[in-house]
Amino acid sequence: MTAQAPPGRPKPPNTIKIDGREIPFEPGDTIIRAAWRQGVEIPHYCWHPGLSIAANCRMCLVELPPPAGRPAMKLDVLQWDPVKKDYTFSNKPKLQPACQQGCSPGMEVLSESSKHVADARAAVQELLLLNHPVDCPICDQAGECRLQDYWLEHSRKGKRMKQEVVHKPKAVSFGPTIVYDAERCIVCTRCVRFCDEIAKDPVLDVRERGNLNEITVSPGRQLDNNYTLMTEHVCPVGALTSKDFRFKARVWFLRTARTICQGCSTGCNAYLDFDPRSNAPHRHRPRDNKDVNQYWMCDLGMLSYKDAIEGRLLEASVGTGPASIDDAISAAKDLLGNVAQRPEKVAVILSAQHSLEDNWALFTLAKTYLGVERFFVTGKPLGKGDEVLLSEDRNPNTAGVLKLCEGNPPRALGDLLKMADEFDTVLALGGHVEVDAKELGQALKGKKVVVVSSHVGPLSKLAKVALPACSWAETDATFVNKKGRVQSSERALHPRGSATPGWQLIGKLGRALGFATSWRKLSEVRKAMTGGEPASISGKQTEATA
Amino acid sequence: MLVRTNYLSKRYTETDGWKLGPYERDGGYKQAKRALGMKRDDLLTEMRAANIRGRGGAGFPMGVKWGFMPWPPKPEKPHYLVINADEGEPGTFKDRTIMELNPHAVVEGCIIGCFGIGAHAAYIYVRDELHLSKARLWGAIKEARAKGYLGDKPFGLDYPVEVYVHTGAGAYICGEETSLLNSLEGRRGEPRLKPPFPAQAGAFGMPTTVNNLETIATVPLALKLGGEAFSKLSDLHHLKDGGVRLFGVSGHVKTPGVFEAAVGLTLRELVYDLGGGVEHGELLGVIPGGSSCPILRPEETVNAPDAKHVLHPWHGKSVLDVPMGVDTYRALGTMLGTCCAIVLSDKADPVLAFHNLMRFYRHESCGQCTPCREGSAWLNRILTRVVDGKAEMEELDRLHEIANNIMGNTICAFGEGTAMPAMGFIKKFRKELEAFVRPEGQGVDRDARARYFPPSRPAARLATARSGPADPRQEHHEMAASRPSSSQPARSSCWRRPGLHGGRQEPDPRRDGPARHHRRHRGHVPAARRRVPRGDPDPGLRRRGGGALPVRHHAARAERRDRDARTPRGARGSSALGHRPGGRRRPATVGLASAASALQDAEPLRRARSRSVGRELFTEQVVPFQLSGALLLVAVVGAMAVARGKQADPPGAPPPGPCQSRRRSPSPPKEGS
Ligand SMILES: Cc1cc2nc3c(=O)[nH]c(=O)nc-3n(C[C@H](O)[C@H](O)[C@H](O)COP(=O)(O)O)c2cc1C
Ligand code: SF4
Ligand code: SF4
Ligand code: FES
Repeated sequence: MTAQAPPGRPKPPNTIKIDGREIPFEPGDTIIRAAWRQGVEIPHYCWHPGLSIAANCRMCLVELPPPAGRPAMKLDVLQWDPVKKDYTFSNKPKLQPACQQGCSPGMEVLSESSKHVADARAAVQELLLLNHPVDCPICDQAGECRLQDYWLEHSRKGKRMKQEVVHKPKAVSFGPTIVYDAERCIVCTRCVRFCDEIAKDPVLDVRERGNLNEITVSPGRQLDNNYTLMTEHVCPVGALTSKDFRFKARVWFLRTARTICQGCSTGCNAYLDFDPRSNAPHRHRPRDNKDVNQYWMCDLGMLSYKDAIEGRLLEASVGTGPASIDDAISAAKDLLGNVAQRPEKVAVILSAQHSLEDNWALFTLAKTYLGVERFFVTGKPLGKGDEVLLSEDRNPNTAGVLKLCEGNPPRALGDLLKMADEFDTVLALGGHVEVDAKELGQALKGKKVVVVSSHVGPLSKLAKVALPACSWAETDATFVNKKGRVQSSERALHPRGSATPGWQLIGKLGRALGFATSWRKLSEVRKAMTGGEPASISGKQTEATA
Repeated sequence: MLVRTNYLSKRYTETDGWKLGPYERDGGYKQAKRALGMKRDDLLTEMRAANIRGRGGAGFPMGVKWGFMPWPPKPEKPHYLVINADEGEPGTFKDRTIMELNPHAVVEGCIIGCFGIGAHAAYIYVRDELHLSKARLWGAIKEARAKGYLGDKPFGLDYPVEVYVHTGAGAYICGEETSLLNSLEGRRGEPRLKPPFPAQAGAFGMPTTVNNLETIATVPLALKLGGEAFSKLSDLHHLKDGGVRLFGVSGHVKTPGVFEAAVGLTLRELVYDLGGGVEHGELLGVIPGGSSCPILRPEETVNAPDAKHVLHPWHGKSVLDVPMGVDTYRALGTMLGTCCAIVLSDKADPVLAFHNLMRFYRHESCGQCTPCREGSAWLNRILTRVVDGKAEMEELDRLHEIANNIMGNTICAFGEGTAMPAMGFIKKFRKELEAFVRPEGQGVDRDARARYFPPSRPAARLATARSGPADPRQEHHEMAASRPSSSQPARSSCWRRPGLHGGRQEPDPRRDGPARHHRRHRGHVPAARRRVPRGDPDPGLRRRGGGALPVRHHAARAERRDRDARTPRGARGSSALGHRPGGRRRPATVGLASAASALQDAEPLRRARSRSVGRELFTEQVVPFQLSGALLLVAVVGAMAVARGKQADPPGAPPPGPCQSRRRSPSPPKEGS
């Protein structure tokens, strides 16, 4: 608007006023985005900070009083005059959608404080619910549904249309992960725009018109890209539900921990929702982080919450039989014997699957106390990546391991297979390996193998002594993503079985071997790990508000 | 002041008047040639002076609009001229007469327009149903190209111009300019957000001017007479509303049709002089410019005591005596729109007309934004109950609230186009609405219905059928079933839960058997002949979830999707909001086309047109939904008149035919079904 301030006068600051409150904005911001950044919510359905603007729900309407001296744009509306028993025309200002309207310095915006805005929002809310089945009791979205929230905030009225609602298809399978309920859909097109713009796979679109509109999958296709569950996440209502989560939990019973996704080396920030009553994880949701995953996660990551229970190593074992942790540690001590006298015979395998703390503990025990020189690293084999988020490297902490061993880079496990004869002892973290399990079995035959792992894998199966570590969901942990970003993850669940944090097990083992691996608390590990500095856990943890 | 002119419609009644020969004989294409030799600024000055107000509805000055184009054009950003010939506004039928009878004026206008805005290509977006219009335009383009008026060097001058005809698929919303551009690009025909306006980013993201077809056809004339002289033909030259234009009048007038006259004509002159006066009784009201304009009643008078007010010269006079201009009508609280008036006599029922209008808007809303999508449907829903005699007073009071909430809160002007006429009807016909409402505390007033639809009259049956089914689910399914048949055959029953409906008239495949079901829904292939298509993800699951629907319905839906798949994504939405473009020809359209070609027998245009409407209405009793909205409204209003009027000709019994089963059968319910 005022591109150039007249000379002499100071340029107006880059702020707008929403209901009298100063809100700074950045060039190109819309009103809703500037407000959102400051934590001021303007109600919205179709707007999403990561998607293009559709401005179709009309929930975000705001009033923009005209600059002084200019007339406001008025529209005629009808009013019923009960005294005169006739209609009279009055007028209302033209409202603008805050999600579309750009900011200009000094602009005034009336949101909560305008009666016209309140009326318009109440009307939109009523209209959205007009043909809605209101089946909240059987809807998975209940408890986190915008229709419910905004109804409370802006409407609080019963349905005034008493006739049967328009019926549309229910429980339409869109693909392997998503079910669609057209009656609940408010046609905000978030899901369509997500597929077009973020997943780059335009499989969804709107069909029909008017209030028969519904979302449809491209004919001959299914919603089966790498980001299908995100459509469910962006859906502000219960129209899209995840087959995985459907009918399993009510969200108000769930608690949430801020974790790091274990699916790949991108290290997406996630929320892990779990039921504290049953100690069961229920789903991953993306946690907004502008520098890592923006607002998104891939299906693999969203479903990787299951790794907190599936494929777990929950009890210690000696040979092929189960054992208590203490028995297993003393068995390991016997097995390893005078290991400190022959460090050149010891191979240490670090795991890109385990946290920085676990790796640090093993690395310190081996390098500082045993004097081992040769380190290897392993993890899950490479998979197929994509351009959006998913990395080929399916391990959350590869960069962490490499960073730990700076100056003495660990070799790939494949190398160990070739030089297996040089070793008689293997200390390993993690169960998964990227090499062929059979070849590994051949190479490690007859060797003294001690493994600390959260999951069952070829390595843990080959172990003479296997110790059960906590998964990422059961302990606070640190991971380094492929860009070298150190990120912390919170504990969600109580450990299952006899699982114990990996670094604790390694500390115990060290002490059993007679070393001063004295760390007992996570804070001690982190302090030691970072050389006295508090762990550099970066990443401003923005809450998902959209 | 009525000044009939003969510029645009000179050759309307001439045999082969639409061909190049007669056009050139009258000086055709001279202006295009002259324009290409002019300076662009001079051309724009002429056009501004001509005061051509957009004929598409909004009445924006055309010359000013051309001036919005970025100048000079950047080579990497070609400009486009897009001509809006979608003409979907109910009651409007002027553009098609130009396309059919004076297509070369359009082509010449396009050449001048292209030069004026720096474009080298013009797209004429024509509604699919207008087959003759398309053919005539194609013919004209061909003739012009053969003569070297189009192409790389028109008239031997170095300014390449091409003109293309693009077919829509008959969605009213595709007349909205940005929606039209989406449709032109092969996207879903939904209005775009503005800004950016088409002049910044229009067709294919390039600077574009969208002009109505009549607007562009007027351009050669304005250039020929000179801007100023052209503008002065009008009575409203002082209001910058110049020249001549086509006026349409339909409904209850003796001689409906399209007439050319100088701007400044009054509504009274249009109805009584050109329209020949009101047929079937006295004048009840006039919808002045296409259905989106609020209705005017003859007893309204102008109240503008302020000497500066636009309307002051007519202070105290009837609204019928105000000259029809963009600004004068806006000041009256209505709109000039497309300048095609719909006349209602007092034998017509305004409530039924209102209901019919709202039915149209409900059907045509693109459904993008909440207030329009849900509001238009709710208005229609309430009015359905009103005409069924089921509504309560409380619902009546809701009508204006809904309209208020649509007003101004939508993406495109469709919202206002729905709300404003609704407000007009609500305000001006409250008493009539109330008459339909059952008295407080009583049961359904069956008499209300009987009063309005005496069962003995055949035409009344049509009205009853139009008034919609009683059950909202039926209404919904009927709507679905009556969408463009090319795309939506048996939508109605696809997701219905069997048993939910008492639905006597709903087809029930289990009861009717596939053959009968098929007959009822033309194009619905019986399941036995259809394979379950590939790509149907998990029919089993859907069937369970969907409430035990018969398999074939899923198969039908899936097949439809399958078929859509054959069009690539880009083209999928082409024009008709996800409907497959290029649908089956509808008999009614053919009827119109032949009616129009009857014009060549030098018969006055209006006769032919009214005859065709009459035939559609009274002999077949089929008024297909997608028939140009104009005819739809005219037809229904006519039917109502007949239903209530004294001098109605009782039409012959409708021949039973397949067409009939497409619509809801008007026969009374059978016992026990
Ligand atoms: C819902 C809607 C439908 C419209 N339909 C048409 C139409 O059928 N034909 C037309 O010329 N303009 C139509 N318009 C107006 C166009 O958006 C646009 O204003 C016009 O084509 C501009 O041309 P003009 O300036 O020459 O009038 C419609 C507008 C709206 C909002
Ligand atoms: S399914 Fe959900 S996200 Fe998609 S349009 Fe409907 S409400 Fe919006
Ligand atoms: S106002 Fe109606 S027609 Fe226009 S964009 Fe919105 S829903 Fe579509
Ligand atoms: S958030 Fe939907 S219109 Fe602005």
